[in-house]
Amino acid sequence: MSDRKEVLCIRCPKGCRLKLKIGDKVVVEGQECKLGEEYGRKEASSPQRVVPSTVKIIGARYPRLPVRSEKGVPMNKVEEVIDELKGVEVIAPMKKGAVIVENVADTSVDIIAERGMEVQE
Amino acid sequence: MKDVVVIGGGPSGLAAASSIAEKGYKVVILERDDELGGLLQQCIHDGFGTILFDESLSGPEFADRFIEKVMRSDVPIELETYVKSVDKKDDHFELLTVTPEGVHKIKSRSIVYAIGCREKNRFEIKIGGTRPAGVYTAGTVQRLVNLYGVLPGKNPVIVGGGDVGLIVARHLYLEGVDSLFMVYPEDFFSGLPRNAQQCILDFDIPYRNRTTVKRILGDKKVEGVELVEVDEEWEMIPGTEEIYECDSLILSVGLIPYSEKIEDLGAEIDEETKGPVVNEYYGTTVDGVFSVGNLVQIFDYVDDAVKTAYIVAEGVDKFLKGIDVKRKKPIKLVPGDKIDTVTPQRIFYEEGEEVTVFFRPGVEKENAVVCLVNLGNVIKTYRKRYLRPSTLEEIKVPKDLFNGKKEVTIRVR
Repeated sequence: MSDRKEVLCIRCPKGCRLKLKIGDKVVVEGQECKLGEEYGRKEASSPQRVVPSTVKIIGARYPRLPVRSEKGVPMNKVEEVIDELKGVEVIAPMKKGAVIVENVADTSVDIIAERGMEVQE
Repeated sequence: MKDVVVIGGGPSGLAAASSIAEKGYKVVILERDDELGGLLQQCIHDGFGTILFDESLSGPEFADRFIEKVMRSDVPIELETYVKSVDKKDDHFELLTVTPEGVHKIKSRSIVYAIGCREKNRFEIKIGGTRPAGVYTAGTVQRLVNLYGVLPGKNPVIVGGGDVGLIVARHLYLEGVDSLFMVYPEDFFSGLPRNAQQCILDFDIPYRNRTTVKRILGDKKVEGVELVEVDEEWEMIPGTEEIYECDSLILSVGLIPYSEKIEDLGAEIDEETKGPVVNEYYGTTVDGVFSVGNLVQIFDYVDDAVKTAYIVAEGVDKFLKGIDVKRKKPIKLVPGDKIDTVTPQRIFYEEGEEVTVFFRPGVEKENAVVCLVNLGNVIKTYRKRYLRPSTLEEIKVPKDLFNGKKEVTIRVR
């Protein structure tokens, strides 16, 4: 059984449209250089994405604190990560880089604060 | 009397202020918002800093690098300060500022404008129809969602496939709109490929190319839009109209340098970039007035915008020291065949080793040869692996190449 997928190569500004056939082995088509083939294989086997979002913050200048996954999480976990952040609430002050959620959605990746926020009335 | 006033506390203004302060000048930063960082504070996605720091940072993280640097220096920062007017006197400028405390006067020998760009609105792209609530620019939506946690609607339509629209589409999808539809007039997304992939294709968000919004429908609130197909010239094709129901419309139809203020001062404006005409040190055509970042032209990467801030520090230094090795007539750098914009547009100084030139291709081309041409003769060529209009290109031009010339054209062969 093989799965088909189309992705846009992001290794250079050309942005080739790659066709991936994912089965026992991965076949990449549509690339115009070796980088594209390498990228296509990675995308087929374990695509990862950094997830940016926000969480509720109490007592700060804005009602939302920007957060992100500290590194890429498997792409099929992105929506689970977002769902887990929905109920999260933190209280100002908050330091930049503070861990907001550990091991989010069982990915072994932490969610961190993108910026600091002081207490503000 | 200040040596330099930097107007704007975004990344370019911050980088310019600290680089100029490092040279020993008295600098002040004026910012109209109540915090530093500019637009980046709402750009919570990652991908900033890959050129300058070799790291993929979020907007707030990238901004913080520059905020911290300014905070560590002795550069004063005036927040909630709006520059009402600027008067050019014989040997200095007089700025009138408005703050919560009142109106103030600041005198300075030079000014660096770092006031960025603004978004185009529905009237600039001629979308007709009613004027209901629920029509937003993409940047406004980004601010609402990322700073305030407010969604613009439950089933928005986004018009325009540029970077801001792509990124906003992903935020809206992830933050839970019921449905989302993107239309754009180009054949393919006009934003960077990585944004098209990571924001739209990753999540199978529906989109349609060669399509735009003809009319907005709805009385008090947006009830729908009339979509229409367009041809390669973006002309609407009669008979292809269809109504699409939605509760909000988000415009991602381009950015434009915020150059009205600097034009009032007498600076020449480039018809193509819509920003001020600048020399190789980012001086405008008004002596002592400089311009950096997205005010000069729209940069795709903040990393490139910040480069102009480092270069301007050299120009301000030359101006304040009164170093006058200017050519009698500046050499013009002009966009030729298959090139949309070029900055800087003027080469003023004779000394210096090389000039960093940015250009935007007007064409998509593989293995392109970019030529510098003078009086019909090719004087230098550069090879580029792949050119496309969505990606601003950079070349380094040796300064002595300009000697004895009046005008140099950049074109794609």
